[in-house]
Amino acid sequence: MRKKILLVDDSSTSLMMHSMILNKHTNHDLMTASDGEEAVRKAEEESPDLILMDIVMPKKNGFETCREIRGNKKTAHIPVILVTTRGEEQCVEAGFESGCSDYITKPVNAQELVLLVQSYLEGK
Amino acid sequence: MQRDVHQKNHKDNLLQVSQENITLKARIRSLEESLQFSRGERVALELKLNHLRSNRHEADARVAELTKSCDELEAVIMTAIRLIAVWDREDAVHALQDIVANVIGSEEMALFEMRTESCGFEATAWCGVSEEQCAEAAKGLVGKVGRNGTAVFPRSGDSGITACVPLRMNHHVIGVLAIFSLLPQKMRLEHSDLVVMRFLEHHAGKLLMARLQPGEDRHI
Repeated sequence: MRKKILLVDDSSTSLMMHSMILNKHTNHDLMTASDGEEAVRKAEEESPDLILMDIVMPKKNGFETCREIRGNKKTAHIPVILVTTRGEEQCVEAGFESGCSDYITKPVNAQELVLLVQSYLEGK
Repeated sequence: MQRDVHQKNHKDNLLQVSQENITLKARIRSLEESLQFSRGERVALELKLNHLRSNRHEADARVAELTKSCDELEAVIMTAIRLIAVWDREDAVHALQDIVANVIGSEEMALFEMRTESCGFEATAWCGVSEEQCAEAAKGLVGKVGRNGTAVFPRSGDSGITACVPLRMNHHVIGVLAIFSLLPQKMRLEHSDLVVMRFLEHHAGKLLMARLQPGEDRHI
């Protein structure tokens, strides 16, 4: 069954790369947002089944956005995976404190990303 | 009389046992032949299985090789699409940073351009490193790569540079892209990173010059 994934990143290269990987290996519908505010709005309007989100973004960073998504009744249930260049331990901790469900670092390994997405959307 | 009957029965029994013995011997011979045949067949099947296993290993290796090539091509396609979208200087530098951060895996890079008056290389954009580091690099490895036109990937050294790639236009080196440390989670450059850098070497320079300084008279 096709599900909806919201990709959030201010880098067009990153959005393109993740879209390419997910289009090739999964059969889900993808939508994008380029900052935290747009992500919060789209999460509420579109009710995606999964959100893949960068941390360093303009307007609202990934931690703030994640907290806001978790704090909203309409979006609190959506799993959020943080996908970021920030691999430091304190960033990972901050990510989980903000309510993210998982955390992977860039540059992403295609297989790792696909397996993670499948584990949330296809129960694999 | 009773004794005669008993003897006759005994003879019949002996005859029956002897016939059964013959039948069983024939059956044993036939089973032994079948066993022999099956053993031969098993050896032939084992040979076939070994052959198939070896073919499968070859096929697996080939699939892995093709998957790797596909991944490399995808990385190059993404790089090309990102570069094609470049519109002005700021965006070009941003595109290079974006590619280096998200495809290669480094947030420390500097772009050096050739100064026509001195034929030396000067940092014109950088991120994650200081101006002093750039000046140091320009005097050392960057200048060398700019003059030789050959990309360098130092494994260690004082320069702190992981990759130093000339950027060309019509075969002439017009700039150098220096990538300093990789992200902590990226242990080393992969083959796909080298493919992307080779692409940047031959296409990014042309794009930078064509789109960034359309009116400037640069002597190459």
